[in-house]
Amino acid sequence: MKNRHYKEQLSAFVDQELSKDDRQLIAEHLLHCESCRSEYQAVKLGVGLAANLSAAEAPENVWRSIENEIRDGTTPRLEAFAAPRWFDITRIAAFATAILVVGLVTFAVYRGLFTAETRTVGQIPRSNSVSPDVGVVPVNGAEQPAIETPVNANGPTPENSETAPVSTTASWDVETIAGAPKVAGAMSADRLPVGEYLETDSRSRARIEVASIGNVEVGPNSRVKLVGTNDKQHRLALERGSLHAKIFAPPRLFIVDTPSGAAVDLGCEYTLEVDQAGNSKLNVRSGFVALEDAGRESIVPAGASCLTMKGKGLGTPFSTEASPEFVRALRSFDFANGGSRAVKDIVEQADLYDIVTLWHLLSRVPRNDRSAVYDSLTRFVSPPEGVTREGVLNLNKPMLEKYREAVETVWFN
Amino acid sequence: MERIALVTENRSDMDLVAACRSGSRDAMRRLYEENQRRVYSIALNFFGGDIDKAADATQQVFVKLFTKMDFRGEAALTTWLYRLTINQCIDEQRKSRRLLNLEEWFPLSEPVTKMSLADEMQSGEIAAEVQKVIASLRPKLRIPIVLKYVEGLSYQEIADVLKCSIGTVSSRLNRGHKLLAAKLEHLRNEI
Repeated sequence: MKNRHYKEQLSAFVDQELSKDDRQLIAEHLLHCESCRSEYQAVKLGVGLAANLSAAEAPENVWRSIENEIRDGTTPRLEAFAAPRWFDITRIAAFATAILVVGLVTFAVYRGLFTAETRTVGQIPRSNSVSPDVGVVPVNGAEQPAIETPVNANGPTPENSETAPVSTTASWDVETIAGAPKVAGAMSADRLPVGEYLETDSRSRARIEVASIGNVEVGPNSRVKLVGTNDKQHRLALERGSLHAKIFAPPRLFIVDTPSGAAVDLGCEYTLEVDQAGNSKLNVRSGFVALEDAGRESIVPAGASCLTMKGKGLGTPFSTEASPEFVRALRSFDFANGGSRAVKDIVEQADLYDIVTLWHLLSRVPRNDRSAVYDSLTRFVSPPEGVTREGVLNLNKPMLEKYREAVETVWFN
Repeated sequence: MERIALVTENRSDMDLVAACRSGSRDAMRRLYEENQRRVYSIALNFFGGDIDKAADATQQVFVKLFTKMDFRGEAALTTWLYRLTINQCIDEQRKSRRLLNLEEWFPLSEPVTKMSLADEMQSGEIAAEVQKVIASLRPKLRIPIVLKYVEGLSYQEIADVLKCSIGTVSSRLNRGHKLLAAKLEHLRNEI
């Protein structure tokens, strides 16, 4: 019994869910087992943090909404979630209109981006596709997939975006949340004009209304520039600090540049942080965000994070629940030329939470490492019908796309 | 005696739910008043403090309870209600995570007011930060934490709600605690 560890019982131990004898046994074990003691400290901290959660009364209007809905069955929900009613003619009409508008907007965006001699704001020379493998530039010796097209090549950065002509009169509303945020060159901080910076100190926070498509909350010690805004694109540059964006708009309408890549909104809520060195961390809370840098792209879904490192490029998305060992191996692969050794560690550490990472790695690792990544992914997500091992190893685009959809289905379930 | 008391309690709950199903507003109001706090609190913490999503999920749980669901008394009403709430939250989260949600792009009603990140930070910074991190966990880790620390359920009660073993509950809480600690290490000296 001396060699037995109690790591799985530590939460029950801290929560006093064990019998007195078991508690005594574990307490004695902790005295001489450094490994369990270290885990105990983490679990104890976790319990202490979770104890901050609290209950609350439902708002008054909930009961009224319930009564209304039961009475006539027509009162809309509180609308945090809109319930789709597919056979409701008004909804169908609304959807049809929406699809038409999306089509027109997309067409207009494409025409504007690919045919205009001068671009109003920044540049997004790529399609509306959210396929992560399109345009992935291989690293660590991976060969280039036949289907690749450059993504955002020589793409926008806070610097080169300034060269694009933008409206000099447009500005966005700014609301002070705390402290005294400042807008460079302005007496007050209630408007952020195109080309100007919003800065916060350690005590300041501000909320920026992004045209009519959402808002961005700027955290302390941040510096944000409004690069440009029009009906085709809204673009900020986060030089340092953090922001939290909630955007309800068609994909690719809202973009945030950082010194080491651009975060392209695909209809989502996310937090983006940039450190003093220009490295960034993206954490997606709902929907998807595309991170792009110099021809590479990572599609980051809700529940995942992605790192970028200035001068070393874009990382691979990983689950917020990935193990520290897995993340360490991935960082080695992405930023420290970890090569096959790192891929081996990644594959060994991978579990169900890491399927998005594994899928991205298929087109990022060299051919000789790809089969190990593929085999690892198939342990958690079976290749859909029509997707073959050979096709994936050869980076067949339709097969990768189909596999991505299967991965996404598992990810969100 | 304990079993008889449980059967009697379930019988009484079954009668109450049946009265709701037959349209008694008094019964509905009573059932709502007795349970709204637990349903709303679970949803609120599940959705990281988003009061609109929590209110909407609460509304849907009670509408289902009053109009569609049959409570057969096989488990305590609260256990059954926890399951209903959890399923509702998971369903709503799944819908909200879909990328191409045209109704989000073109809302048919005015945009809802959400509890903002900043509001959360102002009203209890640590609690809001914890809530946010918990909301980022997978449901299977998130739900035991919410049931344990919001509702104060024992491991056995959580196992009953989730229809799994105590060992599974213990293991998920263990992993959830370690993730919380790893993500909020900077708060170690604050609690």
